[in-house]
Amino acid sequence: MGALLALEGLCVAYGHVQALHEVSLAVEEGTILALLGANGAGKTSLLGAAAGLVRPRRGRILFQGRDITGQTVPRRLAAGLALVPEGRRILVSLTIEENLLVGAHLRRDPEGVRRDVAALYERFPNLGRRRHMAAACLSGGEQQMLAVGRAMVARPRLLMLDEPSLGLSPLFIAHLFDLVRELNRDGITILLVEQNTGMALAIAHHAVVLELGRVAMAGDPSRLAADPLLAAAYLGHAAPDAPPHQEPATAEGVTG
Amino acid sequence: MIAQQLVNGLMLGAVYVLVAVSFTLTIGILNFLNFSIPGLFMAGGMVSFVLLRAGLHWSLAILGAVAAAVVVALAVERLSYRLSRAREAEVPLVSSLGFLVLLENLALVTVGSDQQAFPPLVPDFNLRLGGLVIGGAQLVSLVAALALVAGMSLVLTRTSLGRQIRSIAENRETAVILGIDVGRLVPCVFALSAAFTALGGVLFALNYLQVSPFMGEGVGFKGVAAMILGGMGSVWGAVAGGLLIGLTEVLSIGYLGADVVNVTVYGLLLAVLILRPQGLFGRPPAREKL
Repeated sequence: MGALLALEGLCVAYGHVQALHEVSLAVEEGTILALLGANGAGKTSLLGAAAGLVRPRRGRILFQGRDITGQTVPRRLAAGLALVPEGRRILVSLTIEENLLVGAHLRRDPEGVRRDVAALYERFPNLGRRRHMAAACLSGGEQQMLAVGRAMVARPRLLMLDEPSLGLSPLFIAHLFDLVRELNRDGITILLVEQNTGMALAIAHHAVVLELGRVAMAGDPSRLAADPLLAAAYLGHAAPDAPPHQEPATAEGVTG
Repeated sequence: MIAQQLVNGLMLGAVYVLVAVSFTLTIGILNFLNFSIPGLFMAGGMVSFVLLRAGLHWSLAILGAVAAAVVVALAVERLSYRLSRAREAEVPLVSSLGFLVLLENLALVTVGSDQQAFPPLVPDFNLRLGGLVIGGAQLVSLVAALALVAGMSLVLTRTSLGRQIRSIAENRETAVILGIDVGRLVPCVFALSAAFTALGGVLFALNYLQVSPFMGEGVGFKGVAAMILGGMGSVWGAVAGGLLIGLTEVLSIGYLGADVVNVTVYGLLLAVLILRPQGLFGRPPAREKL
């Protein structure tokens, strides 16, 4: 199968700060690609460029073989490219159901949307029970499920997740990774940005490591996971004789 | 006759309701205090007056007035809000005030500074309910204002357009990420707000049977007061605030004299702000939970 999303020589800069240097990568249809790297490596910039939120200085973005570099966010979303942003960005003044309907705002088949929303409630009974309550009432983990659900009702072919496990309790993180794997089995291609490298490598088919805006490594996840030196350098894992590395505490300490 | 005063107050309040809702729309959704609104209110009354004088049917005159206000509001959006929003928060506020001055002076050179007699469009009938007398124009105002606000509230809560607008209101950046076409919807909000304001101006003219270039100023300030009283960004708060200010005004004229009306209206506003800074129906700002 071919590449669903391909980035070719992508350069992204904010003023004089260059976030991505000539990054090329391809996400194969039907796979999970884990995009790893330390803070500031350019992962969020890469997703932003793919989603249409950031205009690249140079390079091309191809989706299903078509050049979408100049397309707007709605057009990319309509073509099947959805982003679950960092920090979830749930609309807390809207109800849970309204959040899902906003996710589906480009669809023109109300019947289909209703079915998809009902299916989501079945998958996440916690959301279904409180569908008419403000989304502010959800815990962090439930908000993440809602954020994923909101992207799902757009019926994407490629789902991009930016740090979905950030700030969640271990139990919710396990649920989340199960869900990602399930969605992938249903045929959705996944581009997963994660700090939780161990779990991301465990479910991914391919992995790419960014370092300071460049692709530092790419390849088979099990090989990357087994490489202790590379893990120490890029993935925040302790090398055998290095002191244990602490993940930096997240700004918001809300857990699932 | 306190019951009669209450009825009169509610009718007057209906006009404030429309203006307060207009302010609420732009401030609640776009965080923009649109100072051109009193000008749009005046344009609503003035353009319909000019079109009626030119012999147009009343429905076309009102439609024309609304259309004129919408066009001006779209210009305010493009020239004042969009252009200067990126720089300083105060710039669009001041330049929208410029539009108010521009509109008032445009009216001044077109029809002069005198009060102009607005033709009585609503047949001069009085509804008698028990001891109460309700004028036809008053009744039309209240019913039209409440129907318009209810319709808008339905649009905001029940339609995809409304959900998208509320998404922008909560977080513009999130709305962009979700693929909402903010650049297309913001002018829609301006147009909606302008239509409400212009209809408020038409209703005002219907009730008082006169228009003037500066008719928007007093009403505009009371509209802002009504919005703050009800709670910024709350549509039904603006309705309550508008009716409350109408009642306060009429009761104060009836029992304390016309001279003190601004003292009571703005005194009420001050008192509410001291006791309940978020307004009657406003919620303390929602905190995003991550």
